[in-house]
Amino acid sequence: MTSQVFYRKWRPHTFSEIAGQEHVVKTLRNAIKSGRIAHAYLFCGPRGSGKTSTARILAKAVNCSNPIEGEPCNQCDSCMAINKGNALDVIEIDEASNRGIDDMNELKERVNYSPNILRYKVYIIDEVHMITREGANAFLKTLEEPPPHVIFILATTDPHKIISTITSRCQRFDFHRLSGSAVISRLSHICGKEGIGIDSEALKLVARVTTGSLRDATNLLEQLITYYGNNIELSQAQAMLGISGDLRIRELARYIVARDVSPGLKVINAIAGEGLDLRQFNRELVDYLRQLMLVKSGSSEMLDTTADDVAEMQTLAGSSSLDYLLNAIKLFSSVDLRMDSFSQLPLELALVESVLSQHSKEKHVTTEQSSNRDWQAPRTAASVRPVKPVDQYKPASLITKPPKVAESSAFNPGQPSTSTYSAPPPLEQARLSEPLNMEDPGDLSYLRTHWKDFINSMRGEGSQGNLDARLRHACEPVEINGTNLVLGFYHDFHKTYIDNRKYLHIIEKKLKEVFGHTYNVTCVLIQQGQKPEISESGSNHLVEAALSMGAKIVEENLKTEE
Amino acid sequence: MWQTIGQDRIIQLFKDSFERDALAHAYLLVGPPHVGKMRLALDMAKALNCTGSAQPCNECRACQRIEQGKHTDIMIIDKYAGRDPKDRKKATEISIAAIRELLQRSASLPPYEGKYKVYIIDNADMLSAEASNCLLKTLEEPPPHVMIILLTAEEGLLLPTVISRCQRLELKSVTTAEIESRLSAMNNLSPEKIKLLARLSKGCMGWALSAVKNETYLHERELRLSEFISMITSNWDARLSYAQQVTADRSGAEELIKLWLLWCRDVMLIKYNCENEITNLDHIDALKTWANMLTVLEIKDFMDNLNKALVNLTYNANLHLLFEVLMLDMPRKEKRTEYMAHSVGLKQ
Repeated sequence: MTSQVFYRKWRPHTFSEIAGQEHVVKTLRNAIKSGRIAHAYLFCGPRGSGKTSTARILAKAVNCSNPIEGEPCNQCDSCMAINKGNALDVIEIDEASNRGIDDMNELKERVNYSPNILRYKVYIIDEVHMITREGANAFLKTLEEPPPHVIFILATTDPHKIISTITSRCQRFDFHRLSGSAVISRLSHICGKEGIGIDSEALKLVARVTTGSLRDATNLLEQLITYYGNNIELSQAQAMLGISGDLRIRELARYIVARDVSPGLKVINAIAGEGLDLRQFNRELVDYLRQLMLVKSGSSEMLDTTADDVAEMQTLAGSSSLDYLLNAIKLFSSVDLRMDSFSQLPLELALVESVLSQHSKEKHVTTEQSSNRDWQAPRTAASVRPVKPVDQYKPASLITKPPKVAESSAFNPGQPSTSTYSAPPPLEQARLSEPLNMEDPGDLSYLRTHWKDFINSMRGEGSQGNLDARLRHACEPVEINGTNLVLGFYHDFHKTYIDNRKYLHIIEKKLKEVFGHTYNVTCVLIQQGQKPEISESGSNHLVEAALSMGAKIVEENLKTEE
Repeated sequence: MWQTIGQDRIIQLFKDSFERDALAHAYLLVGPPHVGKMRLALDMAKALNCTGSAQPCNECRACQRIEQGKHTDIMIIDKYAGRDPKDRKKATEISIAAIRELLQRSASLPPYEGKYKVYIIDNADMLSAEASNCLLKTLEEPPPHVMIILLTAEEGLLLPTVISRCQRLELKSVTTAEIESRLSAMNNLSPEKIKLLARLSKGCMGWALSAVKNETYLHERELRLSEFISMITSNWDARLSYAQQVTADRSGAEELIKLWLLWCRDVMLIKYNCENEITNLDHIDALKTWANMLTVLEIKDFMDNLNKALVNLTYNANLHLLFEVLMLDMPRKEKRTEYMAHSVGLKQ
């Protein structure tokens, strides 16, 4: 390969070319001018901040035959030799490959010989954080008092991994992450020299995504040039970085706010199908939702977007609540695409969850508010409610603190943001729940599936607050005939207790609240043998297992407690 | 002829750089498993060393020797490289010894039979911390005539200092349509099977091809799915014994849970009327039955549990316990027919 990549080709050759490390450069130049050269330097800083380059320039500057203001001339023999990398007295050691005590001992031996041609023997020890403990300790004495003709320059990205006795023997220079403007000016310098026309916005974007590493930035620039030739526009840079443009993001954000899952899922799948970077997409989505949140909380002046965009966001934010947005931001920002970075599933789950979790809260409110209306609204509520997640999603009051009659009419969600707590429009509700469950509360099997929920909602009812306990495992709905609901009890004891107008009334009231349907409850006694297999105890599992193996029931011998 | 499928952009990029003599000395290929990273790397190695006209021509001696894995200048370094065949099982990472011996030492020598030395580091995320650091200087400024290609599916596990020294190329998943057309062109597969494989492959061409060659995957999947589908109405006994049964295979656990997860995702998609996006096309009826039986919350909760199980799996959780908990968490539905029988029985 005759050509070199940009980060090698455009390695700076003078101190003034080093971008964004003025504090280091100035000190070093002054030191060289005044001849106060230390025998050991330690350069620390993040990747691509200029450590190795500075080390090489320093090696040139101390050996240069006619330095100008502390800068190497790049013309004398020594400078040329170092630039080519064939100077005998500038020794670059990869400490990560030569990290043991034996390597250090070898180094110590060689240090004693005087330089061949140059004034100083300069050891550039890179990746010095990988040195072993023993190696570092063996090196200490040499590092503290090397022969007068030797300069050590240690460079590392992880200074905290170096033992403190090494650090204290060196002059330490901390290289900073480059500022955006420093990266941009260096990149435009390179572009100018290479004859490349590039949009200034595109440069800004490159500088932003590479977060202050000049090597990353030049790499990215080079890729852009290889892909798109010598004229680069913002849109091309965006396309290469997998930035989807904000249209799709706005679309998805709109669906999130509108709680419209199906089209939202389609957007996510379309993006995954096109092979766009899902991580990048998610980052941008969270950023957009954050902007929405800022608009919603009335600090839109903090955004640096156009007035049109702000207006669009305001309308969008107006149709949502702050709580909802917050929740969505939390869910989407906690999406972890690292586990399976090529699947859209985590995003889909976040979308569904952000809609559902809020939905169940609001559903709760609607249930409470409309408990006196006809059964339409509660029906949707009840049909969305699952069997298990009740404890998880409706902890508020239905279970732990069922509202008394008086409370239920004057129920208040008890949140300061009641006004922003916009109940979803009926259409929304109906559409969301429509494909989920089409069952009728007048249907026995429907009642049976949700019977346990109903029992749970009875907790705290009755004069002793334990009516649920008297119903649980003691009875089940066995028949519905119009508005007549027949409860079958397994034991006479329970039946006599419940078969009391006082309790029946409570049960009927609660039934109406939960299922939105009026029932007249009557109690009958059924044989325990008829107890169906919905109970979790699975008392008949042996029989079942036997049946599945081909057994037949020839005689039932019931052992009841009566 | 480039044999890599569906990565036209990257191939174009590489061709352009090749023509303009602007090749980088180090590339990092990022992409999901089986998407074609190794294929692409081998193609690049061929293009560099090809003596024919097409570059790569796949016919000249160099191309063929690379294809057969005999070329002395192409070195593939993976976790087994430089290890005694006896302790292959112990290999969990690419050691510093392998990098020093196989890469650094030989990189300083000129190519033996070809034009370029190409080092392909497969699963570069398996580089140990020492090995990565050891690689840094060579990776930044290797001798001329050396190209280092790193392949990884988990970019996050690489050192940022390593990534910053490479030209990073991301292999996108191939679109379903592209895979479908490739599959239909090559074999006499039934259209249903092509559709199913294209979706199951999640955009990874290599996976689809190996599934075509090797029927066992589809059989296995069929078996696993039918077991799983029946679990929704099974009693606790059957479920727990099933948990016991799947515990036996630790290495397959992750794949099994992912299979379930994919299934549940399909159910969720059907719930939200996105039938076009589903994967398990061949079981659409069972999916619809599930969708009717379950609420969205039930599915979502179960999927959350599956995801948690996947995380716990990486923490080396007790497999038996993990599957038992999953089986207990799984929503359970009565068979419809039982209801009917019961209510009929009462009326009599």
